[in-house]
Amino acid sequence: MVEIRKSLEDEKYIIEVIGEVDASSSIHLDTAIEEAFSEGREKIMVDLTRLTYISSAGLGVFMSYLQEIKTKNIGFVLFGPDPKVKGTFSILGLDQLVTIVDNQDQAKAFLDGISA
Amino acid sequence: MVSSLHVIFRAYSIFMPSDKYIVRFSFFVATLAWLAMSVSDVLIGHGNELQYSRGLDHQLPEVFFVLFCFFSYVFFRYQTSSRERIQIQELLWRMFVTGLAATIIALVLFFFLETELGLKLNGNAIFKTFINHVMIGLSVLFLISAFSVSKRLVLYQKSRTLLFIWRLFEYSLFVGMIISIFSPFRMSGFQLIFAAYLMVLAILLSVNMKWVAYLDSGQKWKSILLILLTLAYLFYFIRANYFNHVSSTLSLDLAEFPPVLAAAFFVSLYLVFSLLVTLFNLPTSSVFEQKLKEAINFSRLAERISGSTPEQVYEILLESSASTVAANAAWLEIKIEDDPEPYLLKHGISEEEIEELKNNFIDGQKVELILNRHVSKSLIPIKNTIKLNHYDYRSLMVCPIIIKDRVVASLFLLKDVTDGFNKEMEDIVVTFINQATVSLENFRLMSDALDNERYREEIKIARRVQRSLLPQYELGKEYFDLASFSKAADQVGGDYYDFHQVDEHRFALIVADVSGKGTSAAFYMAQMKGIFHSLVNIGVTPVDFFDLANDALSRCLDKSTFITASYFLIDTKRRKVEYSRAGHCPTLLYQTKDKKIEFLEDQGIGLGIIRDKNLFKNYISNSTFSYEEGDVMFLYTDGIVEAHNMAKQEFGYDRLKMLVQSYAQFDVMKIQEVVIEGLYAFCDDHPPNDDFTTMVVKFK
Repeated sequence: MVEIRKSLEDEKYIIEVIGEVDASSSIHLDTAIEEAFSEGREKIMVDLTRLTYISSAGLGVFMSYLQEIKTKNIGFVLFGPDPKVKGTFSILGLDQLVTIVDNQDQAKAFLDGISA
Repeated sequence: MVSSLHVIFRAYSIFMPSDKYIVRFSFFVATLAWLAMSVSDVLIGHGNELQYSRGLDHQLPEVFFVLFCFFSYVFFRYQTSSRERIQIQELLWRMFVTGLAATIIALVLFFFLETELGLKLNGNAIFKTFINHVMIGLSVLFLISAFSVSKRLVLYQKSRTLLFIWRLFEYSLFVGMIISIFSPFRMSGFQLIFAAYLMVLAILLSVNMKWVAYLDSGQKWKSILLILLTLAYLFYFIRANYFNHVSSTLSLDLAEFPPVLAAAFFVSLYLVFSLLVTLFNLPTSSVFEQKLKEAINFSRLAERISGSTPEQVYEILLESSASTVAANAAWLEIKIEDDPEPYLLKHGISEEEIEELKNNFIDGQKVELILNRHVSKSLIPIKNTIKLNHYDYRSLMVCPIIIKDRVVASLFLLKDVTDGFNKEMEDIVVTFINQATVSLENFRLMSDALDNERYREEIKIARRVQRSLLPQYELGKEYFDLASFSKAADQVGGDYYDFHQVDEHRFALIVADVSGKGTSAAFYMAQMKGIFHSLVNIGVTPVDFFDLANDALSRCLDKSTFITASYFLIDTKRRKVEYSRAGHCPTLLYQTKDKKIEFLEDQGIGLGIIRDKNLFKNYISNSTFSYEEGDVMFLYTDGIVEAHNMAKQEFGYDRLKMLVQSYAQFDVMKIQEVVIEGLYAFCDDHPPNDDFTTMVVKFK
């Protein structure tokens, strides 16, 4: 089960992912990111602080937006994953392609950094 | 006891004479009784003239008369067996025919009396008496015939009370007959009360006219005619007997038998009532016919649609509805999946006419409103009918056919008069639709069940095929021991492992995991096998293998799907292993020399994540290690480390590492068993909800 919360802070769009993202619930995460992209958000932070588990299908969701992030030059950053979740990202090698930082401040700083 | 009763019953049914014999016997006895009556009466009345003076009992003719009546009744009772269903028309016809025959015989007799011979004979008192006996016989026969027909009509729709009253009447008549033999009718108090009692019963019975309602107008006209004629005969006989009574010199007199009078009274009353009721029911017979037609249509619909295909059900529904409400034209629009144009079934109307009506005369919004009434929250009741301004059609009725809250078809009925559809018609059409819906729903459930069964079969085949994609053989036995195990969470899964001997001293091993699970993962797993087998014989390095595999998969994997894999190339000659990790869970390597176990966490990335051929190589690395005898490689998929128990704890890397380390000195089967058992024990004996695979290699 997953809960997705969306908010806006200083023109930065925050998607908070709470709970577990598995094969069946990954569709909600996909919808949320899709929505942010179609709304034309340029700075997106995904809050993984309260994400307890992410399956390969969930990782697949992030993976599927890599190309779009790159071509549209969107500021996209994940922050606050617990070590286990972070491990999942790094084993797959996804941490080499998506910026993952420890907390929200770092995420903000990262987004400000690329716009500057 | 029971069996003896049974025997008695069987004996009874064997000796019980059939109706045919009863009819013959009663006819015979009745004729004899009549003859005996006639002879005895003549002997009593004209004994002197015949020089016959034996003291015959004066009641003898009356006894014979009662016998004659009784057996005539039995004759008519069994002639129209109560077991067979006889039409009302047929009953009235029989009554009429008996009356006709009796009247003709009587008339012939009177004409004969007018002839010379007749006149001569008529002077003879004995002959005159005989003629009277014939008249009595004919009257009684006709009366009893009419009486038994009336009985059938009264009891057309029985109830316990009605049956009771009838029996009471019948038995009273019988008892009355017997009493009459011994006590001539003298208008005494008791006899008057008895006569009044019979009349009351006769009146009570005469109001039972339910059979009239079942006649259509044609049958009613015929019945009126038959009853009218029967009444005329009856009147003729009553009149004839009355004069007979006045001028009689006989000892036998019908007037002395109140039951005969009561029966005549009852029959006349009943026939008069029947005549009037039938006459007054004539104007309403069309309503009854309509109701009957509806009922017949409904039962026909119910009967025909059971076991029909949906197309047939729709056709039957259209025909039945149109004919029942007497629609001038009708059509049915059936929605077909993925097709915006509905399928049309027409009744008395062409497609062009429908098109014209829909375009120019029918308010589409109103139709939509009616069709979607079941989902709209409108508080105003929406009627099914719409007024039309068309030259042929003045009113339209629209009814949706709804299955699971979805309008699957809509029925349109047209009439050439304004407000042509009343509430009853709407109700009957809705009833038809409900019946059809049940049938359609059943058909859908049935085909769903069949589909499910077929899918189950298909998935079984898929499972078998997938099992066959995993290697079933052994190799490199002299260089290493190998154990492998794989289990899909669903029927089919996305885990893959394989091994292959590249050349004399090189062996390739692969473990792969498609993201997600189930059928889609299973297809990509099969693709991975194809890629492995097409590249493995070339003897490519692990990095090159992944480079080529990534390129191939990038072109066919779904946008959010990737595959993780570990590839090992064992060189038994140099005792070295070259390997690469494409985002897969790091392999465990146990080395005997220092009894250390570690994860081979080299840089890597899943296949299909970077779909740019030039970039992929930057994210993947090639490594090598040397092995010694007793070293163990433990390959697995994330289904193992991510398996969790009820408390949501994961099995995890540490637990796996400890287990493999503790059992590394055992053989590969034991190591594998320990890990799988440990996994199940950890998961509280629930199988992990993801595919999982293990492959254990122990070098020699």
